[in-house]
Amino acid sequence: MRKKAALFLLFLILLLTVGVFSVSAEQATQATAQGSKGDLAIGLIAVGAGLAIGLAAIATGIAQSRIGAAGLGSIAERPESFGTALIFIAIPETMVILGFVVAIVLMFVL
Amino acid sequence: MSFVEIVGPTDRLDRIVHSIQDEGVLHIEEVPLSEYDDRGLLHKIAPSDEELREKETFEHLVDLLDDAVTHVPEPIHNRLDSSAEVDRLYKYWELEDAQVISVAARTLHAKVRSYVRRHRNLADDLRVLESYAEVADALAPHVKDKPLPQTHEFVGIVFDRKSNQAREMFKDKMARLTYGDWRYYEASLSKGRVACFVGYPKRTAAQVHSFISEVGISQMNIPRHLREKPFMEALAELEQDLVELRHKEHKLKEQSERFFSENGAELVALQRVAKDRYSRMEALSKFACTRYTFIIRGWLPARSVKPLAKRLAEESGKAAVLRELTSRTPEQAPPVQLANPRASRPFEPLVKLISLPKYGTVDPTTLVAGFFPPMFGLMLADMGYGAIFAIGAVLLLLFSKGRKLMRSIGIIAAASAFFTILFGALFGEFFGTFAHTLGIEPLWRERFVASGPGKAEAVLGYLALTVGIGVFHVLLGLVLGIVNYRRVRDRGQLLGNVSKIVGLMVLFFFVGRLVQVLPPVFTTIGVAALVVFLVLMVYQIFHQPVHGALLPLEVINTVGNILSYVRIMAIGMASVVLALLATLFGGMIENVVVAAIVVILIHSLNLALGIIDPTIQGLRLQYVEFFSKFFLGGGVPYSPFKRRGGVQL
Repeated sequence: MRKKAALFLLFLILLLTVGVFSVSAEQATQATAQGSKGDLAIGLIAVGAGLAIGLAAIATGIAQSRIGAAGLGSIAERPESFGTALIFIAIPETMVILGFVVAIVLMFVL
Repeated sequence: MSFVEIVGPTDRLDRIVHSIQDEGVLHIEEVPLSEYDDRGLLHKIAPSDEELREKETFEHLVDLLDDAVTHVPEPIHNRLDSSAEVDRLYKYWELEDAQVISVAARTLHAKVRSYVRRHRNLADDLRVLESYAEVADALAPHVKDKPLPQTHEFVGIVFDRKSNQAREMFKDKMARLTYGDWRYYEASLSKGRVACFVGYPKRTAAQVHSFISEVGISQMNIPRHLREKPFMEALAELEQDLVELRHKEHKLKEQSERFFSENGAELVALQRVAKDRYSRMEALSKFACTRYTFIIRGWLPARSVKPLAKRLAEESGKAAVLRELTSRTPEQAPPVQLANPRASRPFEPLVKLISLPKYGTVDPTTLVAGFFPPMFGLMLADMGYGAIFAIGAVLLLLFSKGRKLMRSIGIIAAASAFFTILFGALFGEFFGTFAHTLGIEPLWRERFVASGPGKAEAVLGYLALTVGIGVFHVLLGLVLGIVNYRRVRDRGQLLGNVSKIVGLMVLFFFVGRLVQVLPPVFTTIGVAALVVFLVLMVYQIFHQPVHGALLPLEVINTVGNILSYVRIMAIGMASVVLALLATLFGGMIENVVVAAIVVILIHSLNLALGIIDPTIQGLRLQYVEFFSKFFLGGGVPYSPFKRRGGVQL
């Protein structure tokens, strides 16, 4: 039940975000046509960058919490599994790192 | 590695085993009886009851002496590692009977345990008295003003500072138990604790003790002889006891150090003798023999074959023969001994963290040594941080005498610090953008521009650099994979790696044409590469259907591996932005001292993150992106049968 509620909330947030983006797209296009980004476009880029890193960070946190707990359990039983555990723990960081890169590109390149 | 077999007369076995142990090059393998015998003539060497008892004795002695030697103080132990005195004693004890060795070892072990026990007891007593003295010192000023009547005794209790409610409940109950005739003093202690001193009439002692134990309050263990005394008198005696205990501890430390400097060499010599005797008996169980002949099998470096053969011939009057075996079963895998150049040897623990490479395959240690420090440097890339890191690495090296792993870490840190400073100079960073204030210009280009026209170019340039490193590193891994799979004759994996390289080329050419950075001729080359890729894919579908069908996905996965290298840029950007924040915050605060503290705190945090993150991510790039393309692990470590005493008998 809690999972369904969380999924529904996530869906709602995404819907609202897409809605806000769609409504303001016209204004952003007008500002771009005038040769400048405009305040709204800058704001939307910032929101996009925030979403890119924020959602990726949540996903990484969820994945790392489970892998980390299992990895430490494994190290406690077999200390020689440290190397393998380290790799598995570092794997989900790819999500937040790529999110960060997307955010940086949005902020600095667009 | 050469696989060898030693055959000789059983009456010379003891001498031959000693010679093999002296040479210390043979990694002994179990002799498989089934390969030789079909008439029941060959059998394992069956030890007599006396030999079995002796083996058990030495096994036990190894445990005892290992335990005893761990208590030898480190400076003495380091001195004994290559001491002539240990060699002399080894030579003496090696010739002694097992029982004599056993008595000497047990006597020394008992003395060591006695010192350890006495030291532990004293330390426990000291800890209890010190904790009580802390409480008593804190309460003394309060109690001095209102001394406890002679009719009262006291108890000390330590509460958590936050447990106000529990303390109030405790006070209520005590007031009821003693009909209000009680004393209560409290004072703050370290680590968020509160010391409570509770005085109560002796006639209510039973009820008070019963209440305290019922509710589970842990009272301080006041020494028995002090419990009946007035507080101030008890405090004076307590301090006297502490002085005496500290004196006793100091004397015991002196005694034990004298004991270890007098007997340390004997302990180490006995430990080596016990280990050598035990390993000799353990080795015997792997040999096979007939009534007149013994057989030993094992691995040794090819260069050591002739010297060992010569030594055995000399020792046995040419009766024992060593010959190289050309055929072996797949289970008889050669052991692995890493043979790297001196400069890359400190990086071996990083490879061993995953596994030893399989015998005969590529050892990636030198490649890790070549790639890890530059990747680390490219992430942190700051002259200031690099200099601090270099100082840390030098300190680590200075304190690593006799500690191999610590020395390796120090060298890896020093190499990483060097590249941090180098890339810091190339990007013009000194504690982030503080370099601008000092007028330091980048030798190459800036990797981060906060605002202005160059900011997109800086970010895209850094991004392109990291992806470029990824392309090179992953392609190198795929090529090494081809070499490795050819060595182990795994045709499927070999073709898989070739297909991935061709698949990457197809993507590179087509994307290059799409964004028009490559000339039109690359469309034709791309189509040709695509045809080659499809042929390889169809071939593999016929031979390994699943592997072949998943090939396009594996190419996409390899592209993912390459893109994964943008983490170098991400970590680098995070570091430089945090450093920029330190400068910005510092500039916003008017008070110079507060500004300095804030700047130092943020830079310290950045430096700590800047060391941890590049280490983990740098290793991940080696293990996940690079090793997964070629590394074949599971090697058995080369562990030769050798003498620890270093004495040629």
